[in-house]
Amino acid sequence: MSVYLEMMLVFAMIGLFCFGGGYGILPFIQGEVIGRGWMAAQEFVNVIAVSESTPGPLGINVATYVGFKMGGIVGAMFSTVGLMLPAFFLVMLVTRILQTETGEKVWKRLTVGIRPVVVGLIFYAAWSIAKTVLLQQNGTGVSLDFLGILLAAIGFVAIHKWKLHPVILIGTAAILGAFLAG
Amino acid sequence: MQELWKLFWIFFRIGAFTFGGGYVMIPIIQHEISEKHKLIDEVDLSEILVIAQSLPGMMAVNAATSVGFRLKGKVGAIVCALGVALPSFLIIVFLANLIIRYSENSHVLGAFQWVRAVVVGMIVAAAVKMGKPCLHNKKQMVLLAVALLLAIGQVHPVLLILGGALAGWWITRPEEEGGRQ
Repeated sequence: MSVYLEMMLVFAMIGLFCFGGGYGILPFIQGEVIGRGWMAAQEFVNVIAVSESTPGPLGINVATYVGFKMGGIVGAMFSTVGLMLPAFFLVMLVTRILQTETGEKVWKRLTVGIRPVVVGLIFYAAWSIAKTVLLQQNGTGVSLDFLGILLAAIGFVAIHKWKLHPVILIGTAAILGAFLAG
Repeated sequence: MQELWKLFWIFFRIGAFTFGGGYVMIPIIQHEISEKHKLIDEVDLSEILVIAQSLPGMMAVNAATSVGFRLKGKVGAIVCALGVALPSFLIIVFLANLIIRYSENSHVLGAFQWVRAVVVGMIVAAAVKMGKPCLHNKKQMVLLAVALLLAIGQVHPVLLILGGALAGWWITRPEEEGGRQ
């Protein structure tokens, strides 16, 4: 199978099963995108940062980036259209069903179970991402990146407690990192 | 044709100027579609948007597709979805070029090194925020924990989500079924 078609199918599957807003795609990236060698874990976190600092949904940004990297503009089109495809069918077929009383009731019952599962999956994805970012590989083995842990803690508090806008947080980290990291 | 262009342009602007994803877009879509252009009345639109939020996929794309489908059928759906997605597509293609070209630059490397660390904190904050509503419900807490354990055990997310749907069906079954005696 050509990589174009494979990307289209993989992103269509992600489009069909990602629940819970922007970060709903996280659970699929490790296995389906990084696992296939389409991008490195660190690269994925870079794309999240770029995505948070530019307009538009994270899913579209990730699909476009991966597609572009693997096959230029045409690749980006295949992966992004793949991601969007399920939405067409769902909107056309399911919307009418969900507007009926029974349909709405059934869907509500299913989402009672889907929601906590998605949260569990996102916690696991957050853990895998934290591991790749905050553990340093060196000659003898792995060690903790203490500066990274401090920055992650600041990031958590900035969003969770201070409700800082992500663009400001990422912009500040980028400017400071560009000159201080080494 | 002119109306399709108008719809495309409305959603293109929404896609180009809203940071922070789907939830930020909702009030802007309401303003543009109901108040400014009076294309769909507010009650109908909010019904469409609620469904768009509960369906899987990118919420912004779902919302644009629904609005387009309601107004102009399949062609309208495609036009609106492309409109809302195109700005991010173009921005990322442009930035991907730059990122790949300058990925060896020491300042770029340093910037991304710090940014990655704060992004980890942001993702954890988002997960905590999403998890909060589940804290009030014991059954949902159990589901969350089971999903986390199975994810650690490398069970595929699609299976877990389908399992979650079944579990949701099971835990919300009506109590009085069959008249317990």
